[in-house]
Amino acid sequence: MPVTGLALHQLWISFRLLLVVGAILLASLPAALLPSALTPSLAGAPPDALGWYAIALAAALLLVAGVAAATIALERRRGTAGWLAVRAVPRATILLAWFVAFSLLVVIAMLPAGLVGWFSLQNGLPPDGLLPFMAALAGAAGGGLAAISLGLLAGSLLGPVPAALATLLLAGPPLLGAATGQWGWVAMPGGGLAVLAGLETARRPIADALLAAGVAMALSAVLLVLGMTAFRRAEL
Amino acid sequence: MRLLRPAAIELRDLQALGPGRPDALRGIDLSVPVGARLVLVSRPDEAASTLLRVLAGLVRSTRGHVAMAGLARADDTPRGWARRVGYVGPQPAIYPWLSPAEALALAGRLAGLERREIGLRVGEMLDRFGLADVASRPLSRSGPMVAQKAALAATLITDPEVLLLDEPLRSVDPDERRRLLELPPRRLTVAIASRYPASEEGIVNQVAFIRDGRMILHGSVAELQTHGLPLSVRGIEQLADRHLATADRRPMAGGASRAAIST
Repeated sequence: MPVTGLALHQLWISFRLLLVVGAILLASLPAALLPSALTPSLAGAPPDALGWYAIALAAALLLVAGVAAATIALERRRGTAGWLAVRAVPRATILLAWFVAFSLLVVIAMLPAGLVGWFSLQNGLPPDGLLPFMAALAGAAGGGLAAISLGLLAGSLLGPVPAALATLLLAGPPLLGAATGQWGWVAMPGGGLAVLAGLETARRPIADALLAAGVAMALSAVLLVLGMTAFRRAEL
Repeated sequence: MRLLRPAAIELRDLQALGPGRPDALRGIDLSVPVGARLVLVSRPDEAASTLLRVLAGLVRSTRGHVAMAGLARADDTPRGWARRVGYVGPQPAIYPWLSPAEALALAGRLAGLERREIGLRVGEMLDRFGLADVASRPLSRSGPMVAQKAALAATLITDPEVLLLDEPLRSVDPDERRRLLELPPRRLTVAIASRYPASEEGIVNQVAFIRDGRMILHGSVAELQTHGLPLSVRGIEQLADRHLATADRRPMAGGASRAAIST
């Protein structure tokens, strides 16, 4: 799809691609630098390496969502989205192309970030913890995609800075709340991060992570449809 | 003299919101025949730009009917528009890392042209717009003049039937600008939004004037000359006032007055 290629190239040229990928890769640093917990975390205790890993991932995904919001608002303001629209590229396709571009970057960056996390944290996890770890990461990525969809919706309605701020304000509590264990309910967009943070003690991590991923993907789809509707009505 | 030629642009009771103005367009009626070269002037200046942006589908109208090149404007952009209607805004709005050749090829590809045809037309446009020397250089390194020429060339590559130009080629030398805007095909209809209509002398043959969101004049350049008025905002406004003051004027749906039009 040429529009996704344009979006990725624009992210590359403007260094936002490096920012997005770099932020997610940097999120694995706490896992690599902090000692792995050998004992299960207690409620109210400071987060262990796994907890910090989840918090750093949540922060990185929030940053990506904020960048997505500002990007689509900038595309509208600079007229580049309009340049495509007057060439019969459907507006929904333009928005979807940006979603695919950001989602690709998140998924690609989470692979090495997950590898670093796994090799650094596996000592503190159960012996058969790889599959639950991967499922929790997938759930976390789902939360990230929902945050990106929210960012694209905000960017379709607001200017770059207000859109980024609105995205951080709306997506921040569920993602960071889940990662810090404040919101322990897994059937929510940030549920994958909650599963990841509590992976040492989780009783059915794979089921919880898949539930969280499903909820996040469903919410993402709803937000994308809303975003497309807003983008269709937006001034380009 | 009323013309019975088919209309390339047909607007009925068009209303739209403008940037910071809730009533930028308040019921515009306009019928531009095929092959006409129209300069759109407005008070305030943004209304003419807003009208072109509505026609291009970049701004939604709140009411009214728009048809161009025989197609009714829908909310979303149908495939046919890409080939039939072209729009160039005051800013080139092309990704600055694209070179003129890449921008033209992309425009051709998005419009559904075949690869071979794209190659031929890109070469033709680069020569016509004097862009061959900078064809492979990113627009960000070539300056605004090249970017504006590339934007117009990328629009003309699909050979549109209706061309909407919002303050086009302002960075280009006036003689060169005139040469580039003297577009030969007779079936091509051009509407230019301009704050400096005198610079469109020799390029356009019709004038339209929007005041306070209403179309109050649609006439010919020849009529301006008949009244000894210059092709300027002041001259066009004076002609509009004379029409409004004339007792036998024929009111239109939007309160406009139609002058004799000859193309």
